[in-house]
Amino acid sequence: MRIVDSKLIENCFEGTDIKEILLDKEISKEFIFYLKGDSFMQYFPMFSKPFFKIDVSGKYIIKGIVGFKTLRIILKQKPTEVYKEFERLVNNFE
Amino acid sequence: MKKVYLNNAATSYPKPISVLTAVNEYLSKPPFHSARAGFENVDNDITTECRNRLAKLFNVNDANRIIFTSGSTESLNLAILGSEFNNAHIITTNTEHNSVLRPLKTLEREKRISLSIVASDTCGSVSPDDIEKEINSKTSAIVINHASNVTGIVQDLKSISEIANKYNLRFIVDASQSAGVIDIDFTGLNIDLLAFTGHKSLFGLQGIGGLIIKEGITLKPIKFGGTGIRSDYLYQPEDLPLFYEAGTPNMPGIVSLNEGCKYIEKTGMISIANHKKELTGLIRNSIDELPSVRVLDLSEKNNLAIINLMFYDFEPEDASYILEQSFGIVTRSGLHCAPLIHISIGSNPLGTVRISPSHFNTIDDIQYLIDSIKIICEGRGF
Repeated sequence: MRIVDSKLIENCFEGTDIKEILLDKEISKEFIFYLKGDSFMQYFPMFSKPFFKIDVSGKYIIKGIVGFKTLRIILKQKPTEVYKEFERLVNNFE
Repeated sequence: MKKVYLNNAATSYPKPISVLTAVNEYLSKPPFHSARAGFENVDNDITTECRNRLAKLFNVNDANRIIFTSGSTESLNLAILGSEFNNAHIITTNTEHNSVLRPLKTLEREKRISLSIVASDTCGSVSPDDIEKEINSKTSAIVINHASNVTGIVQDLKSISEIANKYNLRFIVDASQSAGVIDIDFTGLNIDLLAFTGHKSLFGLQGIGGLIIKEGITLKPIKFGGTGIRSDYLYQPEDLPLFYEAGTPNMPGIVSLNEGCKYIEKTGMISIANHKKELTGLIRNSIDELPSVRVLDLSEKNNLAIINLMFYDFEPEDASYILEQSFGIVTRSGLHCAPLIHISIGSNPLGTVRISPSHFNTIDDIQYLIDSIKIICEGRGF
């Protein structure tokens, strides 16, 4: 999986960076469970377009919809460093 | 996927067809220079027509005292900064939008004013008595949000106006949400400065709004520049409205605002309001029964057809994201640029999911929203 583009999203709250990320492929169930790792995830497969939210404690939250090519990342601290880490994680998914 | 737009408290959509047609026609013609092209020039006619229409809408005696701005934020900045408060005490409320709070807090930080922020009750209603209690010998102005963009609650402008007049205070009203929805009698209420925007319930484009300035009040302009006339005079012409309208006017915005007002005249403000109330009533009655969502419908003073929801299992931002991404329903989540009121109404710190239908939404749209919320509430994640 590759990140094709990203853009900053408006945010009500100070101290968080939010980015909308465009991926080169649609998000699959396998991909979100890969992103989840040991982290906490909310997943709602009963929606016709299933929603997921993964909280990688202290670092970032990602949320999106299975079947879409976009997801949203909320960077909680050290945004540049953490985003690079996330980018590597995405790139490593085959 | 069906698309439903329910974020009209931010910007109304769709606009009436007549607005789109008029803007399109205007943009299809060459832009004659204001005041120079004789009968070929329609700009002045439309500008005057729009000012007259607004004067009728707000009951203003002199239409030239309606200043076009880029919206309520510029209007409120002109009203607040242009008043040149110095060592003054200002009273405002916690229902205000940041377009009021930020200029006032900036003046407070610069030690040019002291500020009292009166809290609303848990419904979002501000007591005029609480405002009066804050008045001291240095109090110069009351700045009040006529109707909250968060709660839809309409404040008791008449009583607050009486207090302002009793103590000879400048009375500044933010009518961003109420203009076009509720009758506002600028003259009858003895308002000094009234700010409004065009892109919400007046059905205009973004980037057009206005400030109405009572006779006898002069503000310090916050911008200076070309007016198209008296170009040999090296100061801002003192005539109104030019004194406050430097720069190229936003003609597409003015055209849209004029047509938007015409649409309201033709359809009737009450008819528009009744339709929206029917829609919000349907939402309230259906969603109130659901166990995992709370309707923050705060009181019978909510005259703007705004509904706020709090989901027990989702943060407002997530609920709004799911509604948009999974169901195609556009709402607004968070603090809605009015951060202080959430403390009073119990939605601090994350805010609410705000639903604000328009005159153009149908019962089908609302039923789709209700069904979608039911699915979200019934959904069990893991």
